[in-house]
Amino acid sequence: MSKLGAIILLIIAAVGLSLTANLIRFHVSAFLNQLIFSVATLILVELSVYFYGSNHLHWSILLFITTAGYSFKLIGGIIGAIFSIFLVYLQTEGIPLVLLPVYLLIGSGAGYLSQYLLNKKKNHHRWLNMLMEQSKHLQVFREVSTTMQRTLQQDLLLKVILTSVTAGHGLGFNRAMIFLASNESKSLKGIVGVGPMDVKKGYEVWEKISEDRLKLSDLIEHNFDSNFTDPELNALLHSLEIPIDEHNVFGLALSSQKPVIVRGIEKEDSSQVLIYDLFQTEEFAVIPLINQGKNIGILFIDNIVNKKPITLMDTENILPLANQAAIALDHANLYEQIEEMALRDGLTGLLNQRAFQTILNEHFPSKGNRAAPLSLIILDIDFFKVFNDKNGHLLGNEVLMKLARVIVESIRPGDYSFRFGGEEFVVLLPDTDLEQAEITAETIRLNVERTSFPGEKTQPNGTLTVSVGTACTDHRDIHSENELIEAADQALYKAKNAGKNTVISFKEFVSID
Amino acid sequence: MIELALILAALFFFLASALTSRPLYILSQKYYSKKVTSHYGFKVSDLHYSYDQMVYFISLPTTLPYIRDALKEDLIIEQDYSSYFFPLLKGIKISLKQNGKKMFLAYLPIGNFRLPHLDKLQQEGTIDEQTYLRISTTKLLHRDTLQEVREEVYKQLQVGRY
Repeated sequence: MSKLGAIILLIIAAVGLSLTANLIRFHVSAFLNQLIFSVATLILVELSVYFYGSNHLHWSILLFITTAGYSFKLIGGIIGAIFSIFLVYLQTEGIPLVLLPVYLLIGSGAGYLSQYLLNKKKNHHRWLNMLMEQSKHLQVFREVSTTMQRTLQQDLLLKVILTSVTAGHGLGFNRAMIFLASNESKSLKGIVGVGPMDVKKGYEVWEKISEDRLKLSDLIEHNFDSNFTDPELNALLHSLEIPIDEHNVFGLALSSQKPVIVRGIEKEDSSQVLIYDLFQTEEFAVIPLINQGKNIGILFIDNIVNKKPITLMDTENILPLANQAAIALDHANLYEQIEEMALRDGLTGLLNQRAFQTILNEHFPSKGNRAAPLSLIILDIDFFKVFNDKNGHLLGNEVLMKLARVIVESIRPGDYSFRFGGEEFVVLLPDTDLEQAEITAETIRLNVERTSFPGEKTQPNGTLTVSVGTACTDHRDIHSENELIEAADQALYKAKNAGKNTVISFKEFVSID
Repeated sequence: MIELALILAALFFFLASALTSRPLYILSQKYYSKKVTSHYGFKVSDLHYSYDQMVYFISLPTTLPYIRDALKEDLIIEQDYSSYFFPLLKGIKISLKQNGKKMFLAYLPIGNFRLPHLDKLQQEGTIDEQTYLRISTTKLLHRDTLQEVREEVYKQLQVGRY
């Protein structure tokens, strides 16, 4: 065979060898993969021996040693060097002991270099992962803070926070719940949760999210719908009130103002036992929601589906979100309180005229739906001017406050009571016909008559009484909110004229321009 | 002469190994996935997946005009492997190439490419982590998936993530 022919044949054999090795080695384990790759180079070396004799083996074997070092790092390089010495000894004349240190040096050098490069790659990968993780969190925080800037609605805020905690591209926990702290009752009340009640449901939801390619905005839309949030979880949460006790994990998180990870249920802690009984979770984290030193509540997270352990890094990463959530929840709460105050009468605590207009509009039957009648009661105190003249306005205010309590205690749940101005009060009764409204009106009148008010002896009848007018939308001539008010007012006027301390219902409508 | 022959043979050996290792690695993952999935009675193509673990290196929605105005064809999807000779897929990189400059936009690590059905099988103990990885690698490297990833990233650039 010519020399060129031998070279070409050796090259063809080398390519064939690499292809054969590659065809096999990716079907086996990582160790065998590396072994096949190293052995392939050894076969190549042996082929060169076959073509050109063993005189050059002592240096051509370096190909195998470096490959072994590259594949199996330091240990591979050393073993490759020792193996090569035996091979050279078997296939050549003389004892090549002098080659051993050279082989070992090359083998360990290749191994060390390979290990060094691998470590560099691993470090690079670790850095990349950390940066990606931080980038992901930044995206979540950006989304949450943008939403928080857009709304003061507590409900929407909670949805965004919990969805961000549980969504795949968010923090990725399987389940999250929010408990709000009540300072009066020193307890935590379950408000809302996102996530499955059990593993099976968890996978169903996960499959659905993947199938529909749902994004955070979609999840916020869908959350609390039956398909995406197990209603059982929220029903349980709503019924749940956990005392804030220094001896339980919730109290500990709030008092220390630090997250607490529970890795196994401690039976001495009744709150942990309760959590296990209700939510079947043995490992969870409790993150305090704190704003300006004030305990707002608790964010509870667990991985019920994939059982992934919650790490300190996880709680560390969730803290900025929890802090943001606490600020937003506190602000939303304050806003709600202010809004509530704006709708309440400062003296009696009843809803005011502004609230009356809103609620009246909400409940007034629509044109096509007259089936749900709305009744209105208007009442005012008889001879109240006389009362104020004789007893002064301060005592008059006390009477108004007490009367408001009597009204509230006389009406049914679902009815609304308002201070309409001065000594005039209004009660709205949704889904109530005139007959039922008359019963309520009479109850109010009777309770007022029976109740003892300060200074009432100065009243012309020796007792404080009210006159009451009622009207209902089931009357054929009442078509608008103003007509309903006007009708009830006319009835009140009649009650005044009929001798006071009585209930009169509007029967005939007289249009007043 | 023998030195030249051996050097050339070694060069061709490593060159052929490096050039064929990734396609053959993908082929072996495909073959393995097909075997496992048919054993458990499902197809890789039927698996639902979530790429919402994709990490974006830019703010979404972006206000940068040169990103917003990018064409779909400007997006480059690259497979990120651990090595030439012992390749393992680490993830896919999505970058934008404009005026000869490349800008990284997003990365989807293979470990975060989750498939609910495989999650379930793994949780039941039917498959192990390695099998999961091989099947998810096959799914991610499928032409349709990569095309969909491209569409998704493009959509995010235009309308924003949320």
